[in-house]
Amino acid sequence: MEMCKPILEVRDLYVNFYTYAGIVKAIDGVSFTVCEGETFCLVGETGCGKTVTSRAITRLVPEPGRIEKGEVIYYTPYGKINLLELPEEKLREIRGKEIAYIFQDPAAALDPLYTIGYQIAETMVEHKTVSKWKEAFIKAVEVLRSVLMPDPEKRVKAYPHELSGGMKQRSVIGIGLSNQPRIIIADEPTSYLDVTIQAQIMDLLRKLKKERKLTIILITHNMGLVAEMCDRVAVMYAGNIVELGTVEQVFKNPLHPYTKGLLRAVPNPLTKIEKLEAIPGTVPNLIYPPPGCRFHPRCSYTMDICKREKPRLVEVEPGHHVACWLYSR
Amino acid sequence: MSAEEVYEKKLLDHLSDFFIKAVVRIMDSIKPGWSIRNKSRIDEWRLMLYALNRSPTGIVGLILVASFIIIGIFGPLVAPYSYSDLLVFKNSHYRFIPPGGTGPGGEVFLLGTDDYGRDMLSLILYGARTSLVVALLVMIFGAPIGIILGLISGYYGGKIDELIMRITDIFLAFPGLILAIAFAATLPDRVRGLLEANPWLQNIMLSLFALDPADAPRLANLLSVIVAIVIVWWPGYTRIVRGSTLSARENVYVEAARAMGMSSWGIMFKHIFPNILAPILVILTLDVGSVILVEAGLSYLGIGAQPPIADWGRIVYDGSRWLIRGYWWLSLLPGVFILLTVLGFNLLGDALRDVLDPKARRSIEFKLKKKKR
Repeated sequence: MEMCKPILEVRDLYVNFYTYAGIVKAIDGVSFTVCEGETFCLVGETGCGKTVTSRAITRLVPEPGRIEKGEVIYYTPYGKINLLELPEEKLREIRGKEIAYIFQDPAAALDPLYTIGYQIAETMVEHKTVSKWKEAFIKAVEVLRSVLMPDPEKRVKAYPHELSGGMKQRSVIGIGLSNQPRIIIADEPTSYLDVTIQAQIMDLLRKLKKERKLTIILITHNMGLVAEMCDRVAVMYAGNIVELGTVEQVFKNPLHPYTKGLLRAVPNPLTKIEKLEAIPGTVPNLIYPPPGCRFHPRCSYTMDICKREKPRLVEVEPGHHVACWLYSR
Repeated sequence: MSAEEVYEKKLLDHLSDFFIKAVVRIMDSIKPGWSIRNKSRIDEWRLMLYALNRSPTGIVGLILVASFIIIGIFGPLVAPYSYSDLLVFKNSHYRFIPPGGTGPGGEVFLLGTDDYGRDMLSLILYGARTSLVVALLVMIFGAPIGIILGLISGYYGGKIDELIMRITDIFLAFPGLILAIAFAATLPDRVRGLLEANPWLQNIMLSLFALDPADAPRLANLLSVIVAIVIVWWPGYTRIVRGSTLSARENVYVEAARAMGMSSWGIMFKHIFPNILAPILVILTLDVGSVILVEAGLSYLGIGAQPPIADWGRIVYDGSRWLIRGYWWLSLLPGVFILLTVLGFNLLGDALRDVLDPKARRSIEFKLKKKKR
């Protein structure tokens, strides 16, 4: 592995949601570093906090969530800044210009009342990448061409309902890319698309990444996608990162019992099996999370210490971290 | 879905087509290529108008509203007499001429005359202007206040929301009419001072209301009624807009706009407001009728327009004294005009609710499509 030049560093992030039922401790001390130019994956099942983590990076945690503590260090070419302490106006300049998001459901992420050309132009004008609307519309065609939209001159005038799902997602990616951001946070960009379109969109992301030296943070629950796309992967469970390493390390040599279970739960098309192996139990209630390791009620290797103390993320081999008492001593 | 697939064209549809074609031609001459760029928007308009054409009450409402607006704009220009022509001082036989009756000079008074020998038709035409301008000014000043506060309240939430909503609660806690009476009764002096200090404003108002310059001192009362209605009117909008904003801001595209670094104001006005415009338009339409009614009510109580300014509510009041003597047309005719106008706005607003809501419109279209098959 080459030397990692960090571009984004999340340190000790805690996010709570203040609901009527109680305080949901959604993110419980998450730390990771994203290197420049890599594809970093956050995987985990629904509700494990991967989306909240990605939103917290630019302080977009929805109500009633609150970032309790932590740091998000963003390395600009001129120095590093803590995004969680930045005033709102400065942060707005970073959102969309330095760090852009691609959302899960492309149909919902586009405003139905405006043409996609307008929506692409809007982000460019908002960030003053171009000074005039007219210019922005001309550039919007270029943006659509770069995301391989068929017939961009015509599509730029189309309203979202006139486009297919794949074309909508291309437009959403186009909006994200319009200001040449350094980091793209793609939150399950393909889960609303059918399989053939998924492959196209992933090819597009890979191509764009290569062309523009983008850093991609990919959020997904699809292990196949992780294996295909990512350089490094962080496995999340109930608001914690339980395992972090290169794709090779995590897939060939999964250490955490949860990761092992997760990988066993993926069907292998080459071997026909009667029943897929599932991880027993369900995701814990995060208002009253289990003490100690949050995975211990579902784990088959539970020891006494697991119920008392929370394991820390430790480096087992170079670059391969795991948070489990089986490996820390 | 194109309009032809759903509808069998009727006369009104051809009329709407003609109207849209005219709009398209005008826009194209201003901005070449406009119609091609906005093709889907034009199709939507067409479907909306066609759906409106299928609603008999909507058509009745539209006709009533259109006639009110036409009367309001052109009435004072075509009125045979001025609102302050007191013919009784020329000849006492001009008093109480019944509708359709002739005066001493042989002139026909279509709607009769009142106790001062004023031509009822002219009074009603001038009164329409008064109602129209009052309603318009209330909408222009009242609705934006309410809408902006509602957007802020719904979008930011939290303490700001709490503060704005409690203030609206305070306003809504008083009966609107009574609060308006209180304001209308206390404001005229200030308004008079303002008008005297700004002659241009006075001139604009005089021409808006189609008044004689001699009636300038009476403007103050009329304007205070407008201010009073604005003051009691905005909280209604704030509530409704806040509710719509609360649901609209949950849309992913709002979150996406935030993630793209848009400012809160940009999101509010570019992405939330246009998406909640349809219900606001319906309420605006319904409210024009209510404002006209409230204004007429206030002047009936002697608070709004002062004589001789023509105002429907005031004419009803002035005529009510003579009802018992059998001069029914003095009160009844302006009353009928108030009724028809308010009814028109209500019918139109109701029909717009179905037409502007895409889901409701689709169900209209779906029913028609089935019938056609």
